[in-house]
Amino acid sequence: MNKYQRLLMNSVIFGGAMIFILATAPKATPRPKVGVIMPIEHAAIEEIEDGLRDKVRELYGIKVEVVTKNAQGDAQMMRNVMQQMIEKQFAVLMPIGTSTAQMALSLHAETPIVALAAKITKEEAKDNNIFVIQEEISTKTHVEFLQELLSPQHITLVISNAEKAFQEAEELTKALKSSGVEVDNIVVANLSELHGAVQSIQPTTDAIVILKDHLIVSAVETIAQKAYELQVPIVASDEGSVQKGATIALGVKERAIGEAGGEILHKVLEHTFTEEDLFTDVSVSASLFVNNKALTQSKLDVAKIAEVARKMNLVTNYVQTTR
Amino acid sequence: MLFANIIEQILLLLPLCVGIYLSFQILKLTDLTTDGSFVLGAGVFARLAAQGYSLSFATVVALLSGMGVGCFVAYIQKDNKVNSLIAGILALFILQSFNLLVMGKPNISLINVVVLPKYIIYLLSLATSFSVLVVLLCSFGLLLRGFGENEALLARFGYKTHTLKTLGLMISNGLAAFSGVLTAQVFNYADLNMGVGVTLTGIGALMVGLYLIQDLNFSRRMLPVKGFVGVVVGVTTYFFLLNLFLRLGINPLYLKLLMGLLLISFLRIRLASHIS
Repeated sequence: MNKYQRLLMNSVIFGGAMIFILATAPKATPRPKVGVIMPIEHAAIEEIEDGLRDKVRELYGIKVEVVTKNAQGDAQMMRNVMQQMIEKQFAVLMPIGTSTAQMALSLHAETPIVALAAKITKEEAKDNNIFVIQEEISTKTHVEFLQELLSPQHITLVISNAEKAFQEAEELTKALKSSGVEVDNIVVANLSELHGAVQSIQPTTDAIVILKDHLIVSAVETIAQKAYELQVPIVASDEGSVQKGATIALGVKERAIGEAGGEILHKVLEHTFTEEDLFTDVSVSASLFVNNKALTQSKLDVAKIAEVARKMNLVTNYVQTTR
Repeated sequence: MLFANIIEQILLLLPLCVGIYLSFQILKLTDLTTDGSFVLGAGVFARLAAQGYSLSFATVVALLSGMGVGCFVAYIQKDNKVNSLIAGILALFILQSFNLLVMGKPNISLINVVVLPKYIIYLLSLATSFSVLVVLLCSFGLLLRGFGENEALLARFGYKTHTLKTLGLMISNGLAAFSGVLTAQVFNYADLNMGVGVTLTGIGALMVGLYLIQDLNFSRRMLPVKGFVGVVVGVTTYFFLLNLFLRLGINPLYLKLLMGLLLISFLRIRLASHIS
């Protein structure tokens, strides 16, 4: 056997051994992928996603891959993204928001859906492979909170025509009116209208109420100027608004929605869910967010807030503000 | 699966794109109202269907509402007092509030409403689009083309050009509303914001399509067929690229930038080839 034949023989043996090792080596199980679909770019939505990612990391480390796609407000793009996730056999789809969840349902796929911050009714969810994480503070609680805090005669509600806020505003207006409170609704379609619209707020108003409304929350500063001028509080529904200048908020931390989603995701992946898991309401963990700086500019005081928190069994968080 | 998705997306937007072709290429009017008409169609349909009215009744009312918008836009432009672009923007502005008024709330779910099977939706889309092509090939279509080419001459011949403009815009906005109806059924909801950018998508797809088929030879009488082929090719190319980019893993965040740049290059090449 000359040196070339030896080399060839060695190569064959080495190659064969490599093929054998590769063929018999335990194959790495592909990590299950979870698809998070964000309808638009927004701080609150990102907070939800952060909460989810942290929970998944806590439960699985790197064993589950979370893939986030932002549809940029384009329904066709949203549908494309979801369809491709289904094709690529993602284990679970996690749409954020109502229309995103509705779109996921419209695909009629076998992939389970865990919808975050979506307003899907039990009837709509029936016979569908969907788990819903809701975070809506009930209108009754909202009215009770306003009554305890301010005993208002006149409230101004500033809202946009966004899907969720609009419905909530309608219900809140109805409930406030039935408790004898005069309610002015200021509806804006875009930010450019907001400055002009808030100038029409009546000086007799006891508070300016804003809901979890992306458009309005992104311009809380504009409303805060008017609130400061009238010396009335801005009562909001999320921590972000308080960070930006609202006086007080009764709401749920966005991260809590993501974390609750992570827990349901865990149950779905492990097939340990029960019927009770189909709807999760994180509003039970609602708390108060207070802006100390804005408090001094309104008619509210810390003692009153503490009293309301005690009565309604709420935890009070003093928020770091940008304003 | 990929091709089924692309075909679905093409068929949902085909009537809208044919409508844009009619206003933009045939009538030579820049009508941006289709964004609003699309939502209005979806909203009217969803509201009526959710209230238990029959799907055909809801569809007809939605279609008529879209046509009403076209009529209104034409009225704003009457006697050429307001430019078509400005009229479209004004109508769109009004529709932002009007659509909410019509829908009653910003989002109407159709999850529990029995809608048409998908194949019927696809057939309806094709049938409607082809019907418009047939209309464009007949003498009425010739008049619409005449309006776009030389409105003044048509007026000299004694034709009521405003009526032609009104009818043209009614058809194009009706088609946009019809696209909205079909989309609401497939997506299972109507949303106030579902029409954002659909006109630009349509115009973009049209430009790309017309560029790609510019070397095809058709007789003057058959030019609408060429336009129709352009619409189909354009909308197919648009959705094929969109799906391809997403499949390649490109972040949706940059997709519109990429599509926009691609569109500009198509338009520049088209312009350059026209000049040469």
